Amino acid sequence: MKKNKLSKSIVLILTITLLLTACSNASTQEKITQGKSKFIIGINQLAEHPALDDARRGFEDGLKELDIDVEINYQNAQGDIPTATTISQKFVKDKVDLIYTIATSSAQSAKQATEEIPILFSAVTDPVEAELIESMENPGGNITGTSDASPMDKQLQLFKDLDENIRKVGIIFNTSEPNSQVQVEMAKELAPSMGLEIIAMGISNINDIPQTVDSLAKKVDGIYTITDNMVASAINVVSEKANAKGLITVGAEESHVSGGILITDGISYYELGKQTAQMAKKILVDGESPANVPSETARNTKKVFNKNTLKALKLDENNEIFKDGIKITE
Amino acid sequence: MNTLIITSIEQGLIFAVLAMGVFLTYKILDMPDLSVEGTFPFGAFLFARFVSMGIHPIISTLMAFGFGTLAGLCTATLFTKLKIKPILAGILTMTILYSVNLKTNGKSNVPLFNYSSIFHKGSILLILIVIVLLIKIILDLFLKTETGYLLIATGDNESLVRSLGESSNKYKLIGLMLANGLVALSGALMAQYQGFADMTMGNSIIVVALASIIIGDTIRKNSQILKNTTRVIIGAIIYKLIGGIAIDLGLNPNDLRAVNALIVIIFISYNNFAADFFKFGKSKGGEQIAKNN
Repeated sequence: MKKNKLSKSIVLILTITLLLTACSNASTQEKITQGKSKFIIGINQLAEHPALDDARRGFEDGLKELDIDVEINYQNAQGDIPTATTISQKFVKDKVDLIYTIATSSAQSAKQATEEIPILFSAVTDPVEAELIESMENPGGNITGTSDASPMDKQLQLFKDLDENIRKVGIIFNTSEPNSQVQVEMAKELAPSMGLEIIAMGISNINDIPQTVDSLAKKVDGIYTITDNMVASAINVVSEKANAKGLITVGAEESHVSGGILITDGISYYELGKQTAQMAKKILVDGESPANVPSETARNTKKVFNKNTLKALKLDENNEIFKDGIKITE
Repeated sequence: MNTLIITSIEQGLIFAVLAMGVFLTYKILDMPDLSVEGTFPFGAFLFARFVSMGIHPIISTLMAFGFGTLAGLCTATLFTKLKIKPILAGILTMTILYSVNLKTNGKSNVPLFNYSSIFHKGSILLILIVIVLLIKIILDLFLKTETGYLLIATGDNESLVRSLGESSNKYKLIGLMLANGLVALSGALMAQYQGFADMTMGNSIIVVALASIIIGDTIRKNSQILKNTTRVIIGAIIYKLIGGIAIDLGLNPNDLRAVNALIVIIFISYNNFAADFFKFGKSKGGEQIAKNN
């Protein structure tokens, strides 16, 4: 009995001490966060890629513009997911103030590594599907950020803006890419409200593209190229054949336009990075919890058009649409 | 003319070069060579590599043929020296080529639209017809030479070749090298036609080649005038035209592969049964086979 009492009181004392230390720790940390002028941010970027690099530079420049004094620890996983995990774990061990992740796998590795340190992501297409957040409005947890989902509504609207008479829009997609299927469904949902009809033709082999484009070109008034790896590989075949037929083409990505597609109204990863920097301010300076900072899609899109295609289609460069666009001549 | 038909014929002509190559191994040597699926993109990547080094497209195309023969050398070495079964030797070469293809340019997709191609001067269709006819004539002439006859004999009756004091392995080597050279050449043409070289362009290409050969066999089956090479070329064009029509009819792409296979099955059945049915009682003698070749 006596022994039992003794051990009980020891446990009690220990618990109280622990609680006290925990409290004092928390309060000192809070003081540091609020009083500190310099924040440490760890950047976990999945690979070296023009788009991802832009997302990083935009973020860094955005922080500078917002006058936040930060020390940046930039790490690149060079496309290797296990390395991305190691980087995230290192940041947690270094007790950085915030982790900025670029690309889905990097974001997932950071979420796996910590439940305390705030995480921001960018260049993630579908953060809900990737199970990073619960919903765009209420992310929950310690993570939020910006999605790079392309604004398909704006892109489809371009057909109507360019030519009022366009009714049927063709899409070519690889039937083995789940992401492409999703986009086709999305386009089919969006199209009727704009007075458009989507005619989608699938391919399963890259050698089928020339014949499929020929067949599609007969049936449609314009072609929309979605984010699809197989189509991206053969983008010049699509654009050449469409131009020969005088069809207006709209791409989902800027790279499509460099491949000869007429125009895109796409996201700029640099601007997306800047947008994420504003979220970083909310979390670091204003002390908001990431759980309460809604995830966002790109606010600013930019039009990019191909000058050669414009000439080939005999369109007027002084058209309102091309005025604020960026020209590419390739 | 309808652009879809033209595209189908153009692609058919490019695949005719491929089919002529596979014809050498499948029909003449009676050997299944699966390395083709790797050799086709190999030719495309070789061309991409050479043309990006500033070499003239015609020479780059010929060099793709030259280096393509090395794939045949690899299969033949595995097969004759290391005694690996031909089907496995082909698969192993194909697997090796996957890595080689990636190494050739350091990436899986090489855009070529900034480089000139052999199609830049004149009509694509015309240029392709000239190339295919040229290859056909050279191949026909080659098969008439002593080496050519021994090559055919190796496939028909290997012990005969041995009894003549000739090494049948030598002719298998020649056949495989020539076949892979032609397949690589076809890949180089396809790369220039589409404007890019891609890792996946070799996928299920063997089906295209075999289908072309089999369809070619059914055309005027009993005609003695039509050379086998001509049959193969016509077969490739017909196969691509059927494919084009299937795509144009809006056939579900998920079913397209099965339809392709079905076409081949129908033509084979026609070869096997209808022909027997029509010329019941006639037997195919050695004389006829000799004339056909």
